[in-house]
Amino acid sequence: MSADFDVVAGDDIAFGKAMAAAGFVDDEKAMHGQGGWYHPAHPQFAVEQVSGGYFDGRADKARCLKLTVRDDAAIVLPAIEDMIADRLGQHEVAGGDMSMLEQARALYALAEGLDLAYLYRRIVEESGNPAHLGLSKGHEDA
Amino acid sequence: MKTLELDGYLADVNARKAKLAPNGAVPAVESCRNGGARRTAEKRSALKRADARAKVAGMQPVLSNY
Repeated sequence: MSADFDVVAGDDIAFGKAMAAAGFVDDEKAMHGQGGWYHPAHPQFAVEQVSGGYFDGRADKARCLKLTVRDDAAIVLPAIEDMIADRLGQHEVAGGDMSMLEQARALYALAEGLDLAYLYRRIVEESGNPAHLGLSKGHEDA
Repeated sequence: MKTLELDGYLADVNARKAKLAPNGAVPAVESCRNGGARRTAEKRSALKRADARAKVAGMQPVLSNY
C-alpha cells in the first residue's frame, strides 16, 4: 500500500468535473502532465490520472470488477489477473526490488476463481515470468 | 463486468487472508510495500506532498517510500 491512487479515464474533462463535484481539489503540480487531485478530508492520499490506454490496450476491460460503495457510487478495479501480470512484469525490470513479486504472490494467493489461461497470457504479454507463481506453458491452454 | 458490493468483497478477502496467513501462504504487508526505487520524480513529488498534507492536518501519513 502507498498513498497514491492511479486512475484511467477515457474523458479528461468529464473526469475532472466529476472529481471536482465529489469535492476533490487540484494538486497544482500534477503528475505526468495529467490530472492530479486530493480530497481535503483525506489529505494523506493523492489521486493521479495516468496517461495511456488501459494496460496499453492488452487487457480485457470486460474482466474489470465493479465494486458498489453506496447508492450509485462504485469503483471499478482491474481484473486480478491483470494486476498480477502487471506486478510480475514490473518485477522483471525492478532490479532487485522484490515488492512487486510479493504483491503478485499475495494477489495470487488471495484471489478466487482465477482464469489461469488468461493470467498466463497476460503475464507473458507483460514480460513477466509465470514460473514465479508455479505456472507453466500448460496453463496457456487451460 | 462483474459487480459486487464493496463491504462483502472486502469481508471475503479478509476471511481468505485469515485462513491462509497462518500457513505462510500470504506474504506480509511490509514485504509487499512498493520499495520506491523505480518511482518517477513526479510520483515522488506527489507522494511527498501527500505526506506533508497529512502532517499539516495532524494525520498519520501513509508510508509510501518516496
